[in-house]
Amino acid sequence: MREVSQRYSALVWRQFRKSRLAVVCLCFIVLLAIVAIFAPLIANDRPIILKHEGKWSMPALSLPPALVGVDWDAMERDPPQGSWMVRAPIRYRPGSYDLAAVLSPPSVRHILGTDGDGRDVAAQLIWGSRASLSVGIVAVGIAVAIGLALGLLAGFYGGFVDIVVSRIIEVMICFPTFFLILTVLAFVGPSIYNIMIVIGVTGWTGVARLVRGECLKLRRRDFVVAAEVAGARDVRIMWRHMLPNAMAPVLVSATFGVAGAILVEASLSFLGFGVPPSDPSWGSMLSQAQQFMDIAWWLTLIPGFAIFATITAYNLVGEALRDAIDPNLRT
Amino acid sequence: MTLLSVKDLRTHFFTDAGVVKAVDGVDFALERGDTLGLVGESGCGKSMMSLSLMRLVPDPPGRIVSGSVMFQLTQTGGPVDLLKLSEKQMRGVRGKRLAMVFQEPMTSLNPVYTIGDQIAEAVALHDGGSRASVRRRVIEMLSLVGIPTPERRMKDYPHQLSGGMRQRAMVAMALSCRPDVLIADEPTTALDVTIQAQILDLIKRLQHELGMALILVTHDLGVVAETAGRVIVMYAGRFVEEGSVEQIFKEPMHPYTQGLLKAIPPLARKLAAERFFTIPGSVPNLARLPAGCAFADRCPKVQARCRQEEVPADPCKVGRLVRCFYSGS
Amino acid sequence: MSENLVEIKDLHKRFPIPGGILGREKAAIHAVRGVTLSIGRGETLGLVGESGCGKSTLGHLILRLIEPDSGTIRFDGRDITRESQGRLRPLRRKMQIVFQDPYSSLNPRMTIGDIVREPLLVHKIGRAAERREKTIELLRLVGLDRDAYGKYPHEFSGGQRQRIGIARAIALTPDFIIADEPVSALDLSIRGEILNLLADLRERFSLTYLFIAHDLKVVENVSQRIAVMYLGRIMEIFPAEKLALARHPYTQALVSAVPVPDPNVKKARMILKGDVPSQIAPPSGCPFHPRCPYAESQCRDLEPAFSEYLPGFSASCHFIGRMEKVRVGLSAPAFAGG
Repeated sequence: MREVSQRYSALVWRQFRKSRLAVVCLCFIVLLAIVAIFAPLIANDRPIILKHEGKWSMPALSLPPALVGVDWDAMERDPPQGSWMVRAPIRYRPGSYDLAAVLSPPSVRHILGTDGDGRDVAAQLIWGSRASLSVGIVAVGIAVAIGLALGLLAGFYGGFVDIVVSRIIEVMICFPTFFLILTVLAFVGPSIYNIMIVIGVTGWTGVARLVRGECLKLRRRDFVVAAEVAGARDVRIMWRHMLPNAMAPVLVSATFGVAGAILVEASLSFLGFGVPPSDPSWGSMLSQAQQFMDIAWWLTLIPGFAIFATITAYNLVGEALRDAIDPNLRT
Repeated sequence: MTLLSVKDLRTHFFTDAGVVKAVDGVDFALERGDTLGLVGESGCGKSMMSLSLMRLVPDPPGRIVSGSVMFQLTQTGGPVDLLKLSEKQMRGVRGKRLAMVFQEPMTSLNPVYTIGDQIAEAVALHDGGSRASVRRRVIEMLSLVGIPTPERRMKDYPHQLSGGMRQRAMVAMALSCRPDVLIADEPTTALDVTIQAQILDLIKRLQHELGMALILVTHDLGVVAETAGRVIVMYAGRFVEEGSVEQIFKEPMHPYTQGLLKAIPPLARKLAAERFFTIPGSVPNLARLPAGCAFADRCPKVQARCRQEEVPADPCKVGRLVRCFYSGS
Repeated sequence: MSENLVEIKDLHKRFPIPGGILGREKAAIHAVRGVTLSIGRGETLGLVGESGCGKSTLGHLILRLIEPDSGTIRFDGRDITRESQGRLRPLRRKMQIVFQDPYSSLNPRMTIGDIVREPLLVHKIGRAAERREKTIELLRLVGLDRDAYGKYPHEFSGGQRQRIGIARAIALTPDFIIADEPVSALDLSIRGEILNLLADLRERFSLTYLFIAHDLKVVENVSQRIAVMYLGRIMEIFPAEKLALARHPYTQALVSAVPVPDPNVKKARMILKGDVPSQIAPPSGCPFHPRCPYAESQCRDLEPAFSEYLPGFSASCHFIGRMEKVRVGLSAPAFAGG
């Protein structure tokens, strides 16, 4: 019989796979990540690959100064001698204004329509995913890092350290997070990096409590005592023994956290406190769509649906992960 | 009069890893007042046996796939197959005619109700009566199991009681409706040895006073020797030997029983050089039982035949059964 | 080199129970209340007692996982009572532990190889390749295949996991091992394997054991001496082979409570009344007096001294002299060989 891996991650994955819905959502998330990473190659008026006057270049990624302002559609229709280009599937970028087709519904030319300034909705959606996903992942990364560190310390040392950390957690929880974020952004200015950091720095309390709880339970487990008796240093015990065993609920929490962070970013952008309005973001798309709600249904529906689908996918994956980790539900 | 007669009971679990044959063909008969000891180690199926008798097998993934449990439900009528009763009818039997005491009193008592409430629930469900009569019965049961000042203790929650007290409360709950059969599933394993002695003493005394039949499920051969009249030894879901307690301990016939008895550390100190006896190997995977005898890989007397043919139960004497081709001391 | 590897004098340890907002002490669990004993080099001392007697806490104290409130602990002649964890670290190579529960004593996320070689890694012994070789040798020593190295704990049975725990304990070739109920969680038919393994290792490495258990039958057969503990105090210490002559009423109750696997033996039972009292409010005087069938008023008022009543037998009881006449449950043939 073929040897199946008995690593914990393999066991969890096999259990996770049993839920078809979860796998579909996971694929969707992966697809979204690919779209976000390769956005410049998917939605761009500049060609992906260009051979022009004997020189190869990738204008989508970096535009040679000689080619600034070129009308790529014209060049495609009437290619000059010896030139050859591969164009992106969607021939627009968020910054391209097609004044001939303002507020046009979805059509062959603009698959998802255009907005009040003639910008292609599909391009905005694709580039906007970068903001949402990067904020989601970086913010949660920061939150998990802080929460893990504090939770491990509190759970391992207990006593006074635990009292101090618990009070810090309680104080943090008292702040209404969203308003805290707004306030901080008012001071530091709403750049995407500030947003990521602020959401992360205000959202670690859930993880910290989870980790603290798990570590308090783990502290007395025999294998942790065994490491102490062997003479292992505190850091090693926390890193090698407690952390891997406390990670499971943290991963679940992180998955839900990404969903939450995406929603926060969208809300901030919707209110105008998020990324600058020139940068594409699903939230700002929704915000700008408000004035056209009666006449341009696609402007509200499409970014709204994107947010909904993404958050739902993350939530479902998080739930399936939680079930996959629970040893009682193992079949 | 035969109270309970079990024939060819099989309980299988249908899992992703295969069909786990937790109980695979068990027969026994229980008379009124009998004490039957069900002995085996982890994975032998004894706990699942007791759950099967009570029809408490988790379904899915488990199911009683065949067999019959004939129970003398009424004084005059014939025996009734418990496996064929509807769930509603079975609920009338559980707790009232057939009761069970579990191993871990902390997890089998509901932590959010007082013990008085929990015993009262059992009484009210089966016997009804006014609040006052139910309360009287609760106090009666608590003092029967030796809990001092029962009027006050009945207002205690499980966590306020010690392990021994909790187990007594469990016994009180099980016996509150004067059942005909009490199944005690490892009732003392989680207790300290001095408390264990108390609880076993209690169960024996009550069995006598109330004229119950007792099925004692345990892995402790000492407990069996002191309490049981008849013994069934189980291995890998099947029973391998049955006999009176004297026969089993004095003339064990199945190699597994012989091994178990040899593995008990002697009470008189052995010579320093002597090693502890152990049965090599481990219990087979119940989802992939080998053909033939399940004990073959660990048996000192194994022959080719043991791995090829299913071993039938051999009634070598009255009341004596061995499942082995080469039994004998 | 002192004759006794471990020497404990009048050890006390209590665990405060916090209450109130500022965590002030509401009550305390008095786990160990004045324990004095010593373990000779190469000896196996059995320690028996029921739940709440403090035997696990005593084990943790000897290993200096926690610090006692008062009293002294000497290991190999050195006073380690108040040493810091940093200074104790090199000493950790000499004292190790084997746990009761094979299902929680191994980190489920580590491979067997990682688990067994961790002590070597922590003390920076050898290089990576040498550690790997040594680990495989340790696994072989406890009866496991070399391909166990890359597997995970859940792939093994209880008995096998216990072997892995033992391999980890001997990795640093210690002098002293605390075996904390090493076979209690295992099936009867495989306990012998582990007990034989422990005995073999003792021969091979000249180990000293503190064998903690609640099963007198096992302890009697592996130890040279047995100490009986109750509610934080030692009630009696005696040579294991002379169990039948031990007189302390609690020892006798323990012996009498052990079910005898022989249906023909009819023991007169000394069934203790009441429950094991709590460690939070231990009784005054002799801790056993509320349950002792022979207790008198003196037992409640005065704590009995721990003194020798026969060569090799010491007990803490005011009336130990009288106890010879009331030995219960020891007249059965099984005990006659004592």
